[in-house]
Amino acid sequence: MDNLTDLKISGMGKTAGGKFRDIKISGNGEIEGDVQANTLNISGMGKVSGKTVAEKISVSGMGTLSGDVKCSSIKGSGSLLIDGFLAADILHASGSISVRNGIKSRYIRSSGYINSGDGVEAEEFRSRGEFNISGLLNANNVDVVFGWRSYAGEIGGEDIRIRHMKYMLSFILSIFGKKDRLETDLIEGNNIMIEYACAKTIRGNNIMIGDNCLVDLVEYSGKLEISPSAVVKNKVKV
Amino acid sequence: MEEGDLITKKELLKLTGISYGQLYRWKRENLIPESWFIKRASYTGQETFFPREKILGRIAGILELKDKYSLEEVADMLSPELTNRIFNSGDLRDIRAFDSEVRETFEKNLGKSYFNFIELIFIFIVSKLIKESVISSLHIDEFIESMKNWFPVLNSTSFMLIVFEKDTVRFFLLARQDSRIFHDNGTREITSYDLDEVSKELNLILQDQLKK
Repeated sequence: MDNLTDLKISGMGKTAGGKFRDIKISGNGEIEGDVQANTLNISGMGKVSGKTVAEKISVSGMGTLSGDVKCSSIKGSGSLLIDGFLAADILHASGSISVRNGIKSRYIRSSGYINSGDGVEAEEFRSRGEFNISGLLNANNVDVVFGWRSYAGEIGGEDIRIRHMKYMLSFILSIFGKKDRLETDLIEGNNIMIEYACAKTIRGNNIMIGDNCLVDLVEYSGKLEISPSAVVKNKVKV
Repeated sequence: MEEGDLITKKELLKLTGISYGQLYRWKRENLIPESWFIKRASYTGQETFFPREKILGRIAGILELKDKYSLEEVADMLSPELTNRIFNSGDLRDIRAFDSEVRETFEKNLGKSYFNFIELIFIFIVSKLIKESVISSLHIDEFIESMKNWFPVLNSTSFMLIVFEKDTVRFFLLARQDSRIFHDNGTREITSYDLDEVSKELNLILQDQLKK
């Protein structure tokens, strides 16, 4: 990458894709075509209308990447839309990240909002915000503290912890009958702990169903604990 | 093509002693193909089923290999979509399971002396077909021509190759594993190859070869 040049768009500009060293978009910039770079930095409004391959991606403004994205680390503190598949090693979301065709990243950490149109795979999925995952959330470690609402089609892994964040607004909303809820069809894992969750089926070894849960069926092979405020319609020891 | 015997996820875990965590990990590592997870509605909601023999074979394979190799290495051995190795004519000549005439015809018809894994699978299958006298060497050319059209769409090995016969004419069909095929009464299925199985077999042969 020695003889590559940097690309900087700080006013309003449109340029063709290609290979660069560092790309910085701080105004309103668009790159047409595939790009490959060491770093891609969007702090204004930036768009890549092609595939993106980069070592580091950081978006603090509004970014749109309209093809598949491959990188080792990606940080989104603004609003990022990926109209393809995201493959990364580390994903940090503190703003909003929306990915159309699914995410595979060894490590995912979010304090913002993650939206995925397909499954999400990670070794560690740690969320302190909200998420909406159409498909399977498959992670060795799922550690979620959510407020308001979150959804995943299915959740599977080894250790799954889903907790609820208490905050002022949730109390006010509960007066109006709007309850915080994490919704999913199925949770499967070795050790499962949930709170404020609504699930059709939960299967695992050791399961703890915490406050305000609504579960149709629990199948467990080890220990099962159920909070008095939870509703479990059927439980089977297998 | 019949669907074969299925096994539920629950039953699979009980039978093999593996945990949900392991199963999900192996899925993430692509050790178990996506197409083997079959979702079906059941009285308790939705259940996941697997093709019984295939999944039991695969799990046994993983359990056997996982202590000796890293999961990535096991993935390379078991799922060829991950092996990006290119093989040259020299490599191919050393593989005894490949018929020399078949190998030469492939080299001639594809006009190259380097092959990827998917192409190797077909060299292997055609060698098998010759050995089992399903086709004669006269038909290799014709068959390879069809394969040329198949290679671009073969992005994984979740496919079946089926050989049919009607009257005395043989024909070949490539189908996705999860698709069902219905043929007319005059047509008879002679043999079929599951590309997943063939690739596993080929992988083992290649592993042996590479050790030498």
